[in-house]
Amino acid sequence: MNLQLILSGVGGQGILFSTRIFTTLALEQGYNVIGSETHGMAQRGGSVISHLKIGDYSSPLIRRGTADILFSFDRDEAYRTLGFLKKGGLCFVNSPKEDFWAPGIKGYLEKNEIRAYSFPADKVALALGAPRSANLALIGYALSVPDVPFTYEDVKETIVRVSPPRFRDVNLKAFDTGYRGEK
Amino acid sequence: MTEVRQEVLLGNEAVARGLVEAGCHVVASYPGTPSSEILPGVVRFKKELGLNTHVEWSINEKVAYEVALAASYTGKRAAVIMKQVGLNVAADPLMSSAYTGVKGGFVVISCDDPGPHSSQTEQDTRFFAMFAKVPALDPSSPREARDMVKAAFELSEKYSIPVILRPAIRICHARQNIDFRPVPELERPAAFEKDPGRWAATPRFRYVLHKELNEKLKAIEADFAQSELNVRHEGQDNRLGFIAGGASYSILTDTLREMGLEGRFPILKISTPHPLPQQLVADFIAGCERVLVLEEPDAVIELQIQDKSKVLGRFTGTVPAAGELVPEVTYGVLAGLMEELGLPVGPYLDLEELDRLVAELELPVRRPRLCPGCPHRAAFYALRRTLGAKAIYPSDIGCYTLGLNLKAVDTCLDMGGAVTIASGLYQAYHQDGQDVVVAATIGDSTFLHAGIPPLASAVHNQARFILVILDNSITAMTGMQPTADSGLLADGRMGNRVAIKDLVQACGVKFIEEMDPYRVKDFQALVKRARDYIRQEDGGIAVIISKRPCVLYDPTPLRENPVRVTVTEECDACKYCLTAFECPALVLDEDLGRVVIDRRICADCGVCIDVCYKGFIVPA
Repeated sequence: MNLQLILSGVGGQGILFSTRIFTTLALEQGYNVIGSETHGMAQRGGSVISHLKIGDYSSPLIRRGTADILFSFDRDEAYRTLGFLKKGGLCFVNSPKEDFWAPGIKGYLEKNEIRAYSFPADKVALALGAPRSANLALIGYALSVPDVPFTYEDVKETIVRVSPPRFRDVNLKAFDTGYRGEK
Repeated sequence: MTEVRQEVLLGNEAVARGLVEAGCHVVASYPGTPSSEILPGVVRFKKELGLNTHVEWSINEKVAYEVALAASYTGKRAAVIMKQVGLNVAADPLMSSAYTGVKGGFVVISCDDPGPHSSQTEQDTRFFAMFAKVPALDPSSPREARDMVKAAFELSEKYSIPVILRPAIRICHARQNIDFRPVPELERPAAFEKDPGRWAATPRFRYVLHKELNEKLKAIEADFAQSELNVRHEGQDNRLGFIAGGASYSILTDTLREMGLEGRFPILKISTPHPLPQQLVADFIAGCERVLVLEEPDAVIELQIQDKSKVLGRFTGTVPAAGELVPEVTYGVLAGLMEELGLPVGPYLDLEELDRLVAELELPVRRPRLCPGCPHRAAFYALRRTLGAKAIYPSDIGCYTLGLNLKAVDTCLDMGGAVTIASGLYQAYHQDGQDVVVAATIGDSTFLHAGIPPLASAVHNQARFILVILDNSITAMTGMQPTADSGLLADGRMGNRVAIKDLVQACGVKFIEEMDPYRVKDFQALVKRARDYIRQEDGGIAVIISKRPCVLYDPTPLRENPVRVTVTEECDACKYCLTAFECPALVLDEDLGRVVIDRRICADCGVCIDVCYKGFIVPA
């Protein structure tokens, strides 16, 4: 497998934790992994972006126009990082409105055969009393879409392993609710 | 087959692993992005493996350098870790120790920040290696960084010379799976052998040491020409060749593969940028029609290449002279050259169209801001509110540089610069008989790092200004490293406390007051008193210690005494709180036409109650 993932959002949305789930899983499956994170000044409320490359890669950065999948936990950041996706890429955005893309951007998505999905992950997580698990709701939802090269079971098992004990149950609940697509 | 233990490590943790796998005995550091996670990584392995490694957060990089260097004098393996601008602070011992040499392996790890992402300059540590005449190694991945630590120690011991390891930010903050190697027990009882001609060399001996250093460099260059660290990949198309090192090499490799050009062109990977193995490079260039040099942040390899007639790089304008060589930039450079060679440039998305469409959306700019509940915000607000726009506000390096947003930061030069700039500003206006209030801010860790001599000097020279030491009990920006004031040590044990208040007093300051900045009104009154003091006849420098722990580091005080706030319906959306206080938890709700509290991120500090002078923000 050669797979390039971008995860974007703002500080505090669990982007590094989400990256860790995919990294741990890929490593377990015997792949090499390399990626890059935002630290320091950029983390103080600014945009956060995480690059993850699974398979045969040397550099930790993904070039714009070449990523396979984009997870964005914030709508504005989705716009800002959409350019990372390749033609035919997959995109999952945390958004209260399902059809939120600006008209011009919609044209870009169509022209480049980018399949864009949105899911109200914040709302779902808040309803579960676990606002900080929104990231897992979005990931759960993404796994219900075919073509995402990870299985529900594998990701679930990884979440169990990497979650701090006191967040394990809520993380799983958010993940499952997302997977079932319950809004 | 035995199972190899592997783990996904941050590049900095990989360097830490390299240090313990090399049997390093003493590690000293001062935190700074992108280097801060290396020492905590060493602490982790030290604890896991029950090692006897001495680890310390020193008060600044010069101190860290010298503590580690002295350990090397005794024959032990030692390392000092810092960010690239930290090496400016440690430049003095670097230059001198290049001459004196070392005994036990001594590695200087200085992390560069092309971009820059979290630094005041894009300076290149490899230039410091040239300047000081010491060898530099440049890893192109976390795995390589781990391996190079050992190579650096071996080189250092072979030639009794400090060796610089220069991981750049894309190595430091990359994550990669790394297999663990055994950790040796390297017996090196401390044994300092007196040799005044070396360790205490006078200028006459320094000349001899300089000649010795030049000989060492020559021999090291010959070693580098044979070294496995430098790799030559052949290619069948010699119309173009590449010389690359560090992250630029990895990015080049991936980009060529994406363009379907893997293996086509010859590539010389240089992991030993100084001293440059001249013959190896000249032979490579001789076999190519043209050669593109990719390196960052500056043109260190390119500069050393003697015959540049075939060389493309920063000097020819082929590669941009500032900013990071991210994949997009590298691709742009390569695509231009491929077009010249009549080669396809691979699949390409029209991102300009997308960029234009996204720009038209006018998304709100998400500039970095102080956290909700940050005590610095309260202190900045009180300062600015009391002293107004006419006062001049020098500040310093840390989270609190973001006081810019509150118009309470006018300068940010370097570590400790707040105190000296305040002092110089006072003298410049005072000379003209002008009364301008100067109010400087500096963090606790920064004050300890480089603020003490400036304060002593300012007192001595009769300067008058207000100095607010923003004491949040921790080095916050770089990831919560303990300060000398807290007394905590790098491995979590308790050491001796060095109290900031005592230091200020010892510098000869007569006005020293400590206050919790959450008490905004009282804090404003204190600032007024400080202003009166710097103006009164027998006045001088007024120091206010603004004391309150960082909310990320220690949220307990707020958890125990939360002040829940709400905004009343009378709020007229004047936006005063949004601009003068800029708390991320205060948000203008366009539909309601008033400010609301974002409950998800509000820290319950209650400070904004005092900020809304119209009384619309009230306890809930």
